[in-house]
Amino acid sequence: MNTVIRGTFWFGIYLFLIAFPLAVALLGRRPGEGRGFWVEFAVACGYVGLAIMASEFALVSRAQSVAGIFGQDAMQHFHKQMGYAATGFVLAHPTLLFMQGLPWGMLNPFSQEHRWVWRFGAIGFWALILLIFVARFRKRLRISYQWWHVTHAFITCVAVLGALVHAYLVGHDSARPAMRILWMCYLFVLFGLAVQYRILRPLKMWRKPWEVMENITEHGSARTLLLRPVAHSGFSFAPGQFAWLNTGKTPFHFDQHPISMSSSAENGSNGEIAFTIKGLGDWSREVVPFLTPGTRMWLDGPYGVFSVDRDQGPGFVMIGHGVGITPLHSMCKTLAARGDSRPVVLFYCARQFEEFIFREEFEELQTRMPLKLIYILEHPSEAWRGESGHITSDVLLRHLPKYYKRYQFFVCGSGSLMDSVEQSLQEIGVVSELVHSERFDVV
Amino acid sequence: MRIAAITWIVFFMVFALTAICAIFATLATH
Repeated sequence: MNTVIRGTFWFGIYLFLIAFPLAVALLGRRPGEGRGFWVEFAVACGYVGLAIMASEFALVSRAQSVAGIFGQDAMQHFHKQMGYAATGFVLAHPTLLFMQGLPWGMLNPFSQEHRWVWRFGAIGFWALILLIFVARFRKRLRISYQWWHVTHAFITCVAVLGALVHAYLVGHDSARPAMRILWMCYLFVLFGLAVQYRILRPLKMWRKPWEVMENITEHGSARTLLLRPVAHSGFSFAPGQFAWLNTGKTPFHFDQHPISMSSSAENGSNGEIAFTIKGLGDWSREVVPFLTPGTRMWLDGPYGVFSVDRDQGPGFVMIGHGVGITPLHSMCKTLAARGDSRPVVLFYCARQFEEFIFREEFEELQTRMPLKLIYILEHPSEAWRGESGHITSDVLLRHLPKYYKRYQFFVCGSGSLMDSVEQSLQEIGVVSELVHSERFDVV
Repeated sequence: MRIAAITWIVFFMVFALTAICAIFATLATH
């Protein structure tokens, strides 16, 4: 099956999962059970909101069969956006009911006046609001990624279980066996995914530990960790892919970070792989610099569809900003190692010259492959004679070859950079099918 | 940007489906 068919299949499955409770509720109805449009609409919003919430974990559970089609980073972003969509439906559910005369006090989970079935609904409701609030404002609330990850998982369990119990006990549609079986199925699938994600996957990683060989200081407060597999052969990857790095004592530790491989995909003799990490967050500043040779690590990967191996073309244009250069570095090194003669044009943007990671490596690569390297400085010194400012269509046109519209374009950097670059590429006539990007600033 | 566009499409599709189901439930069971 090709990627389009498989993608359509899984997307269809997703739509089915979030709409199926509506069909089951509707098909089980008998004459005389109607409650008026607005109540029916409120209940239907509740079913859809709950089905989206229950399906959210499947999007980030790193199932290879799905992640290999869409890319895990795209799945993470879709998970985030659908979280907002679920919140919209869940908010509509009580709001519409209150407009039909139900008391607002039912949203108080501590109220002794209301039955437990409503209180469970209220618990699920407030847990979802808290979940969205913390995910949206994590950085402003100064919550570390590690703590956010733990609390996100915990609050999700409270939100989904509260809502499921509410839906299971509320009566009317939910009192029918078909509806109860359906919600039980959602619960069992969720439980199965959780067991796979939190137990079976770490167990598999435990059998295949990795070890730090070197911890190298790079330009721009970045570090490269060179890892080697311990008593196993490691894994092969496509240049541009990433893996989750876990520096905990065991792979069951919550603290894990998606990092792009920066080395060539043509592995060294020992299966070693390099990851380059910029000191941007608590983990990268407080843990990574102190990882000494011999330290055990756990890797989950490879993931991602951002690769020159997947999207072949007569040439490649790569656009990287800051540490977004790491997957592009891996692609260039791999093409050079393979003796690939296809031209590569690399636009490398950073705030200051000192922040260009891999400057020496790229200069060396230019001697081994047809690589044209264009540095762009956002804040140049007076002595700087190269490109400056942002990556605009004018900058791109000044350096792109004649037949650039047939090339494959790879863009990696911050979300705002990628939005503006995608816009510039559109302006100069590059079709969106040839533009590939990777975004990981989800929270 | 593409993901945001897909999410909006899914959202409106499911929203429309929800409204249609509510209409059917109202009409068929009254």
